[in-house]
Order: sequence, then C-alpha cells, then structure tokens
Amino acid sequence: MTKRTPERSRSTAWQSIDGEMVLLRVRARELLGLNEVARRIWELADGTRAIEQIAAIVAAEFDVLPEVAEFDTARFVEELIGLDALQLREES
Amino acid sequence: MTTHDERIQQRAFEKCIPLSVTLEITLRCNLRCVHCYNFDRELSYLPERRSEEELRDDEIHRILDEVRAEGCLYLGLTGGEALMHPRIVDFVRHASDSGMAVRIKSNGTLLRPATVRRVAEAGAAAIDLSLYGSTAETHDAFVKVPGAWKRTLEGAQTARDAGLSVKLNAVVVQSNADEVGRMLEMASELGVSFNLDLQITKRYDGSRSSLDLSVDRGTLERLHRGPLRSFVPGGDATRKSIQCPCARSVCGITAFGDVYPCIGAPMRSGNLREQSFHEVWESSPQFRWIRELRTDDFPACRSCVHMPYCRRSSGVIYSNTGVYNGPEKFGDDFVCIEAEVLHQIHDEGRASETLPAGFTLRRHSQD
Repeated sequence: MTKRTPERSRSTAWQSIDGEMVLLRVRARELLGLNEVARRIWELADGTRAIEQIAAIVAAEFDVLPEVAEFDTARFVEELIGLDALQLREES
Repeated sequence: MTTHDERIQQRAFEKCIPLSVTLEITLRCNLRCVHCYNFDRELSYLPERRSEEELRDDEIHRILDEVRAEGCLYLGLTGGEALMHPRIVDFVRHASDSGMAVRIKSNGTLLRPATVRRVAEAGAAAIDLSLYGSTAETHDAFVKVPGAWKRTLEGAQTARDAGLSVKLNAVVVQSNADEVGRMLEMASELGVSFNLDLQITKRYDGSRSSLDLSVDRGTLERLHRGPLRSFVPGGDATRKSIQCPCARSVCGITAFGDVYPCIGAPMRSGNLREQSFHEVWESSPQFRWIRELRTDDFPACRSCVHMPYCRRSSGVIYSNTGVYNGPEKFGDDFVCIEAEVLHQIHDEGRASETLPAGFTLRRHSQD
C-alpha cells in the first residue's frame, strides 16, 4: 500500500494571527483563512505523517467518525495541493 | 469592502503583531548611491562602526526564530546590498521553511542566474530592485558604478523568469525626474511592479547632503500633472489615520541588532544582543510611546486640510526632523508640500480614480 505524506510547499507562507491561521500564497499574493479543523490539518501536514495518521488525530481531537475525518482530510489535502500549498510524497 | 489582507493588516495593527519585519543582514554594498540612507558611501563604512560588529550568522538565525514566534509573516531581507552576505541563501531557507514570505531588497547587480536559482529554490517570494533612471548614464551616475544599470535590468529579467515577484523601486530625485515616465514604461515592458519614492531622508550617520537631491515643488507639480497623474488620490481615497503601522505591525532590525519602529525610522528602541525580540516588542518605552499616540499628538497634522492626500511617514519625518510625531508646523517636511500639491491637483479635477495595477507610491513604513 502506498503511503501518502503531505508536506508544506515553499510557495506558501503561514502564520497564526490573533488566533486565526492564515496561509499566504506568496506568488498569487492571496491570503486564505483556515477554520479550526483546517488549521489542525495544516499544522499536522509537516511531512512527518501520512494522510491516514493526520485523519486519525483529527478524528480523535474533534470527535468525528474516523471515515468522515479520513474523507475530509484527504479532500482538504487535495485542495491544498491544487493551490500548491502542499506537496504529496508517495512511498510504497 | 475590505479584503482578507486588509483585515489581517488591520488586526495586526490593532493587536500590535509584528506582521512585517525588515532585517538588515549587512551594511556592505557594491554600489555607492548618492542618496544612501545608511551612510555616505564615499566612506568605506559607517563612521565609528566596523563591519565585524554586524550580526553574526547564528544571531541572524536566532532573530529569524524570534520574529517568527512573535507573529511575523512578511520578512524583508535588506542591506546594504543583501546579496553581498555570503549566507543569504541559508537565511532565506530558514525563514521560508519556518513559514515566512521572504522579500529580498537588492540593487539587482548580483542577480546572476545561478544566484537567482539558489534564492528561489530556498523559498524567496519576491525581489525588490532599485532603479534610478531610464538610461545607463543617469542610473550609473547615481550609483557611481559603471555598468550597474544594465546588470540591474538583466537581474530583473532573470528573477522574473525564475518566477519571483519582481518590483522596481525608483527613488525620484531632481536629476532623474524627467525620466519617470520612461521608467514606468520600462517596468510595464518588463512585466514587473513599480514603486516610486519621492522622499529622500537624511542619512543615519547624521549627514544631510542627500536631502539636496530632493525634487522641488515645481518638479513635483509637473510630475503629478504628467506621468504620475494617475497616482493622484481620488476623492474617496481619504486617509483614515495619521498613525503609521510602525511599532504596531511593522518593525525594523539593523545589521547591529538595533530594533527600530520600522527600518525607515532610526529610533533605537532596543538591541537584540541585549534583549530578546519579544522583550523589545512588548516592553520598549519607545514602542509603547508610539502606540499611545493619538491624532491630537500630531501638531501639524491633526487639523490639516490636506490630510486625505498626505503620504506622511513618521519614519521619514523622524529621520529628517528628529520629531517622530512631527512636523511641528505645516511645511516643515516635504510631505506637506506634496499633500498640498496633490490636493490642489485633485480639486482641479485632474485626479484619476484608478491606479495602474501593480504600481504604487510608497509610504516608507508600509513596504
């Protein structure tokens, strides 16, 4: 089974500002605000955890069903990959 | 309607979060610009200081961590000539990996393809380049190095082609004022942003000869009625606050670790060899004083009829007059004359409501 590990791209900067996590797509000069769950996924997507591991943490911390957390995490990671904010490292 | 960026900027201003930090990594430079605010470049270095006293690499790395922890998102690395520092790629990588958007401020002459590739790979987001004329003759006379103009423009192209966001920063002085229109065209042809700076400051070494270069009122009027007419603020572009973001959402750090309200306001408010950035940011008496300033504390500005057209920068005024909340009376600073001119032209109905995209006139502390 392929292990898919998201890691942050250098084309995106980020900062927690007064409690709100914002991503800055530096070349597009676009700021994106993240909600609480999205923020946690971003924090966990540091290149050390596979999507499934991130989803498991999200499920535990936000008290949601594992399969829901896995679906939402995978979808959000895909979205961030589309914005070039994350990259995916695949290892079999 | 405000954008997300404006809301974040406003929140950082209100909560005093150092969103934008400019760090001088060296004062050394390979050009000798006549207007340089660091020191008179006819001298080999800043009087009474030595280049060996500049921040060490480990100190710069520590400062990067400290400003990041305090809330920095936008980091400017400047000089001197920032690319003269042999470890700049390491600093860019460190800052970028920790989440900051890194902008390098440079004269562009050292932007060879290999250098551009290295800083881009390390995560640099943008490069600001200085342009002082539309011809090699004007620019090279200003920076006192033959061939600089050509290398700067080649550097701009190389950086642009590498995908970096490039901005040409032009300081407008009497000697290049006639070339402003052409400089705007050049930026447009290159497909890069352009920023004009009409204000000259006294040097940080105390010498004032740079001020002699400044444009006069007649030239200012001619520029704003001519190539800069689209920069005249429209009727709705009213300024809401006199206060700059200095010491609230902006901060500057010198090559010796001194902390300023912004890099353009040389008010020593602490030193990062003696204190942490957190301590300075939270406790500096100078910063606390600035944050408590109210409109009534600006004697010439509080009831000025030209305020909606004013590009007042506390840093520039402090540099030139020594009074941060100055000027003490209308007309003591160049910015008063400029505001009056802009107001007059606006009232003549010559203002444009729209600025060309990617083109700005700078207030020093907002870059």
